[in-house]
Amino acid sequence: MGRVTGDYAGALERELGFDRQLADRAREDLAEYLDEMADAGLARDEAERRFGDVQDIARSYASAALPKRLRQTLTVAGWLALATFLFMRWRSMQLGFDPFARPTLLSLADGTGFLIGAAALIVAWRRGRSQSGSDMRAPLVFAAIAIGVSTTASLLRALPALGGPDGTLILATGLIQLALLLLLIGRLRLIGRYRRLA
Amino acid sequence: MNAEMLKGHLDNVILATLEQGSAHGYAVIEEIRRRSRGSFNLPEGTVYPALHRLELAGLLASDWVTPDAGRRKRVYTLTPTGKKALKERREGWAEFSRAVGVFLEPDKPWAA
Repeated sequence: MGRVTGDYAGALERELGFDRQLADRAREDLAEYLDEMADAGLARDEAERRFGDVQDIARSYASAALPKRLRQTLTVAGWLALATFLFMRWRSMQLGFDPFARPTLLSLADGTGFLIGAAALIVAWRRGRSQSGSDMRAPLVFAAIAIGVSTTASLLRALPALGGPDGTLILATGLIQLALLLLLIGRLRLIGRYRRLA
Repeated sequence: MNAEMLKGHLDNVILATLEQGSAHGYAVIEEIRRRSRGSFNLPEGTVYPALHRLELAGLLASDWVTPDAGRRKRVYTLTPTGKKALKERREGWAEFSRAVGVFLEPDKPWAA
């Protein structure tokens, strides 16, 4: 396959630059098309014109990939919710938090944030099943914020125990949650780029 | 034919084209052009993202194939899910075109 260079290919890659995999796919497809057109004796400019407007083509690629990216983002959010729930429960048991004690601001933020986040995830999942999936982003953003609040509150509650015997495990679980949260935020930012283009 | 009008049916056209057998992207474009006798006025590059979309949806599978004398090409094949989807879409299309035909072709009787 011939290497694609030139303004058209460059413009297409720039438009899809936020997703390396998608940009590579578009470049490969364009290369195949231009090679075939060259074999047919068509001039490069004419072949590029027939391929279509760069922005329209980039938009079509972004629209094509968006549903899968949304499903992947939902999976990351699901793992985050599961990790948050399990680690929250584990920390509560290890640190002996009394579930019937008078709630504090942190314990409220911890529990309520998680419940709101889980509800938003269910909404996102249902929207993904019933529609094309493009309306999943808003509930996913909401879920990320709510679970983020829950995670922060949960870790702040456990902070005094960091120096204790469970300190390493508390730190490890907290880091896993934060890593998943950052991954989800990154995914959501990427989805935002897709939606702006598509 | 209006490009916008065709866009909504492009996926079905591609699935039906690949029903005949596996093909690479440009061969799909050529086959669509041949069977439609050039009446689909769509930018040809639009077919590639549609192929990608159908692949991501599991309706097509793709493999790199290098012919004995030639360039490496991505060849698309209809998956069993794609065959099932094409059958359903065909039935849906037949029903839809029959219903719209009643209005746009007044002489045509309603066949429920």
